[in-house]
Amino acid sequence: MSTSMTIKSAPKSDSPQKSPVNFSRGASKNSSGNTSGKLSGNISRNLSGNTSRNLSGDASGSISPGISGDDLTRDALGNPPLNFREDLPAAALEGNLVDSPLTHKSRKQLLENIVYGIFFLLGFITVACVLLITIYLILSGIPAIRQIGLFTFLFSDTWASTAAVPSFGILPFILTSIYGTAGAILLGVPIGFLTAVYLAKMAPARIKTVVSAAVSLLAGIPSVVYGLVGMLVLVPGIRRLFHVPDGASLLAAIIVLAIMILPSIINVSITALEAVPKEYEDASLALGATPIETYFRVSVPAARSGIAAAVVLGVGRAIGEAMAVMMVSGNAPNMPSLFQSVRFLTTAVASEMSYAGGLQRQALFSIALVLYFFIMLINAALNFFLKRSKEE
Amino acid sequence: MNDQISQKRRMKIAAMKAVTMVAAALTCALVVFLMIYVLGKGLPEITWKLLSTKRSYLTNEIGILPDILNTLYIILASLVIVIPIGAGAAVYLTEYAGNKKMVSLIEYAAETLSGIPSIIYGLVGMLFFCEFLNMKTSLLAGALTLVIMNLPTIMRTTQESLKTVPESYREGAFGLGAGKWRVIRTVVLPGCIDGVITGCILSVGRILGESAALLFTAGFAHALNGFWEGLNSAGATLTVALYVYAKEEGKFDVAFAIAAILMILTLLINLLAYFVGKYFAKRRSL
Repeated sequence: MSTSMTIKSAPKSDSPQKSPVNFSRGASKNSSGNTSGKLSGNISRNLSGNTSRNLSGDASGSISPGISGDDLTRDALGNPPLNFREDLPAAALEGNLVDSPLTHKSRKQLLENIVYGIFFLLGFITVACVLLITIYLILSGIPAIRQIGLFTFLFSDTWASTAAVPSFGILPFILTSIYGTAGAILLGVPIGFLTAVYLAKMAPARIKTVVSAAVSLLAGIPSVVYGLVGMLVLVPGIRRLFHVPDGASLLAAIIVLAIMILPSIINVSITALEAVPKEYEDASLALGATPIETYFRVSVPAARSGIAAAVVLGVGRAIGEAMAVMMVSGNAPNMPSLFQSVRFLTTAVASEMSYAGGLQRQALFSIALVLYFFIMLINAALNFFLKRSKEE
Repeated sequence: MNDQISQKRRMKIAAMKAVTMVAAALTCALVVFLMIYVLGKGLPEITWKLLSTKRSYLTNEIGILPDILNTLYIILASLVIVIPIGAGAAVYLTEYAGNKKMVSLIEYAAETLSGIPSIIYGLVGMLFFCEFLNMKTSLLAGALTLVIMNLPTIMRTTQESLKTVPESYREGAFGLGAGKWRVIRTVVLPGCIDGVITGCILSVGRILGESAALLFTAGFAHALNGFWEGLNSAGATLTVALYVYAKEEGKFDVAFAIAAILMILTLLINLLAYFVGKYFAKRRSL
């Protein structure tokens, strides 16, 4: 404290009115609902050389920039009077009394303001990134849609971007993405959900540790590794098993996606299941249900919002996956069929981007925009379920 | 107690128990299979020569040293940029922002970012960093794209660790007369180191496995460069190299060698995260 107190140079106070507000914001948030905190905040401001005009220990913890309002609140709380500083032992105020308090105060407030500004900017970068991505996608996605026509673009079923007379219909990609995701969910959710029930409720501690470690390893494996294994195990396997000319198909992509979304589903479901109040289960057990009946009839229904969130998260992961799918799905722009080579929204962007130009390139941005639209819908659904899960 | 349960009900219970155990066993079997298959096929392909040389088109020999270095460069560059931003944003959210709307806006933005697929990051990264900011296809553009991707991770872990800094510490510091910034510098920031480290481990894992976002931002060259030179030129990371070797060139031996390296690194990162998490939990409970 003494080091910062001894600064004496150049008075500079361009915003003496603004800084106390910033200052009080943080302090009142820190100590919201905590009188001792509020008091110490006030004292600290007194000690740090601010005049009591700047005090703002507002009771509600909300922001109240008006100085008069702050004063009122403080009076109502019976906090220290305006001349509190003079009542303190001289030793505690040594720095203040020796220095010129005004110079020091404004200097210090300037520093606080700058620091506040920096942290505010850092906090705002996240929002700026979302805006940047949204604006860029919309700006670069709209031209091709306008040129091709929204209806033709979304609902025409031929994609021939490099043909002499190119046609840009992304219905095959949209349907493939939807079917692929649905398939992955049908396959992945039961396995993931049941694993989560086992881990959250039934598994002995040691097994739980091992299986959880395995699940987090599954989450960490790079998607290209899934793609590689899929290429060399799944694709030939499907070809031999179903006697089709090429195993690179929607089915292979569905299986790879189902494996890739497992960790998300398991982890979110476990969190939801573990948050079920123990009283529910105790009540069920006391009524004569066996533990396993309790888990399925009581715990699972109680955690349904969280489990729904897990499924939605899985949908988001599956629809956004590009590389692994690109390696196993064959990549031909066909209408989706289980044993045919297909192309997803993500892979449509990835596979042509490196060489595309002109309208073709712009159409790829439009595909990304459609994908982004789907993701935003899924995000909204996810938020809805997570919120409801928290409320429950 | 079992005597009072009917045969039918007992069967049902046994069935329910069986399906959960089968599902869990299936999950485990999957992991074990992946590990054994990839390591079994990849480890024999890893030679010192592969690790220590660069690709030569003259002798037609493949070395992955540039790809390893590119991965390290990109991890380093991303972390250096993302840590101050992510940690700073977390400090703003927990220490400064009093405005509820602002907090929920930023948190909503972070959630949105973590839901966006990496291919979209790659596309926007290409448009913004490579073309608009004229960075060309370079590791730096890739690193900056990854910064946006990993921002929510660092923010969340830092925020969680900041919540564990006891309110009394801050009050004590305020009570001793420290200003806001001084309290943050001396009390809050040291308390968020746990979160930053956890976030770094998670981010390294994510960067290591990322490929779609890097394909169009960092490119797929295999040139051997120093750090600064590397940042300004295109280069493939291990994952991108794996993709190119497997999908475009059909060189599965090299692809499996890279896959095995990635598997081992993933395993190490997971172990590190586990032990670091345990250590922090233990220290906190003391």
